[in-house]
Amino acid sequence: MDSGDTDTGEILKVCALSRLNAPETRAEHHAYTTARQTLSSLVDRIRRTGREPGPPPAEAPGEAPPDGATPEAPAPGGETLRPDEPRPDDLAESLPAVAPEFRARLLLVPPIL
Amino acid sequence: MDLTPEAAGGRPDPLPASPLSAEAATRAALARARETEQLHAFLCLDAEGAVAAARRLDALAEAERGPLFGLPVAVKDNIAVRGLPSTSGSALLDGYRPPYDATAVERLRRAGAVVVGKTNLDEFGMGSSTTRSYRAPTRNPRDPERIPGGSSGGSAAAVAGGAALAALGTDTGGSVRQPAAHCGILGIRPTYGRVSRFGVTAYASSFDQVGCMAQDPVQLALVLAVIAGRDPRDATSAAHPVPDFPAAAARPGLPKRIVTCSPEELRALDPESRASFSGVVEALESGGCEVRATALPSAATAVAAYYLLVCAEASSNLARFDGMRYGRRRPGRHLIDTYYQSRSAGFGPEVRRRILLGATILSRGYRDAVYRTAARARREITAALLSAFAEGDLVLLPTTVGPPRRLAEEPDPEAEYESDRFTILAALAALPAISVPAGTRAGLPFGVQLLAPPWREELLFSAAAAFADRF
Repeated sequence: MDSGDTDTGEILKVCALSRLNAPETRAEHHAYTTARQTLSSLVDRIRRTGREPGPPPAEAPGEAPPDGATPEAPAPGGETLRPDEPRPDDLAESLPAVAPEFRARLLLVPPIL
Repeated sequence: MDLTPEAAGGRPDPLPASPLSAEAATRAALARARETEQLHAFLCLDAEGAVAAARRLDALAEAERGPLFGLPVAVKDNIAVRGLPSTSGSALLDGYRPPYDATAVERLRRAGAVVVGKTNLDEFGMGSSTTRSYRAPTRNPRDPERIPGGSSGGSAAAVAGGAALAALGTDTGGSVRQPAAHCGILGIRPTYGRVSRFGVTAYASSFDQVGCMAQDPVQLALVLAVIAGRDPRDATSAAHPVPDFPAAAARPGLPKRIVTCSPEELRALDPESRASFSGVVEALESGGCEVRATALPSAATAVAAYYLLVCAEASSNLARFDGMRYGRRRPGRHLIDTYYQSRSAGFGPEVRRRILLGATILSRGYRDAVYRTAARARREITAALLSAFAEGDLVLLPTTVGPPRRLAEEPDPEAEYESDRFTILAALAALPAISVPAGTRAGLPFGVQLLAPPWREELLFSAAAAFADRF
């Protein structure tokens, strides 16, 4: 099997994984091949970073950062629900108060009108 | 031809003597949207619903009026608005009308804002040009022969064209900040978790954030203050206190120390943008800021890590679209074939491309070698960016690598990925970042980006107000 056939086999496999039709035209096949080249290029680049990444910076759980330290970045997807959460119906009560001097700035009319 | 309100009649009056009624403001915005129809900023206008909502607001007593009373807003079409089409710019979701509001929209409405319509985007947010919608591409109000940027290009064009005073967008890798820069307005991506993603079509869940756009820092701050906060329907939203953003925006101020990237990283800019960026640095220094170049994470590595991770997440998130529960179904010979036919016909080329890349990345043999390496690179980039805040209070970067391209030019996807190099750093590190107008280059808007430590958006609003005073 030459490299072209290998590519075709892998494209068919990944199309099936993605529940997408296999390429039917030369243009579609070219688009898929180009996508694989993009992937190779991105993978090469990430591997060329040159060093083995170490573990993320450790911080004791629950420990407050010292004064002046950078606040901890949020962990995407890392929070959990708490039992005392406000219900959606309570959201209106948490709307911010707005000082009267800002109110007037709200209705800036598009000047063409 | 410049289709911005400034070109038509000058800058807005910052403090009108007598505020308009909600209905008058809404009708004005709708009229402007129709006048600028050729921009294709909107996928749908809700004239009837908006005017009815505005009338209900006008009937309220003064004490019952919310903080955004009467503000006409546009909403990106991947954010659910009850009863209005919500296509995410995809043929697959043509005809889908969610029976509920996204939390951000619900909060805007409760605060008195009026939704005037849904705005165009690159399909599912995958693009930087708003040319990859299943409908007509959006045009830039500053130069309609050029793209507005993307993927929230419809929202940016609506605000810059005067058809809305504020707009919601979503920012996965720069989709609020980059179109804001190309259209000459303000756009903020808040800290990840600041705004609920409930009701937002998921693209890459660990990156997606709802952001907002406006022409005025105080308006922008008001909108973010309203939509921010914990939402029990989104487990990734945070209960972190929301500072007084409008007060910060009303107090223009720049920090004493700002860090920026090395001159080597700036080589990615075209010469005019590089000169404009140097001009911004000089203006800041002459205003008393110390601007120090430091070694920020390599943008080249960041681009690779970002696209490997978002494609993986996209292939997983978009698996739910199979023609069964949402949108358009194309019948096949049997159930599984119906999935194949619906997905193949419904997704556009770039979405199919990213799904295939993501499926490969998550497949056996690639997962450890690629996905986990990219995830480790993301953690390193985050740590490096956070440590930069020890040297300065804010990080200053260009927003885009050059001016918005002409609509007729079609770059290859990899080149388009590279154009995101300055916006994806904040996205990888879950940091808040704002793009602010900083003059023009070659007659087109030039924007710079400011990044703050997590949960410190108020620093960005003060700085944005200072930029508005200077540029």
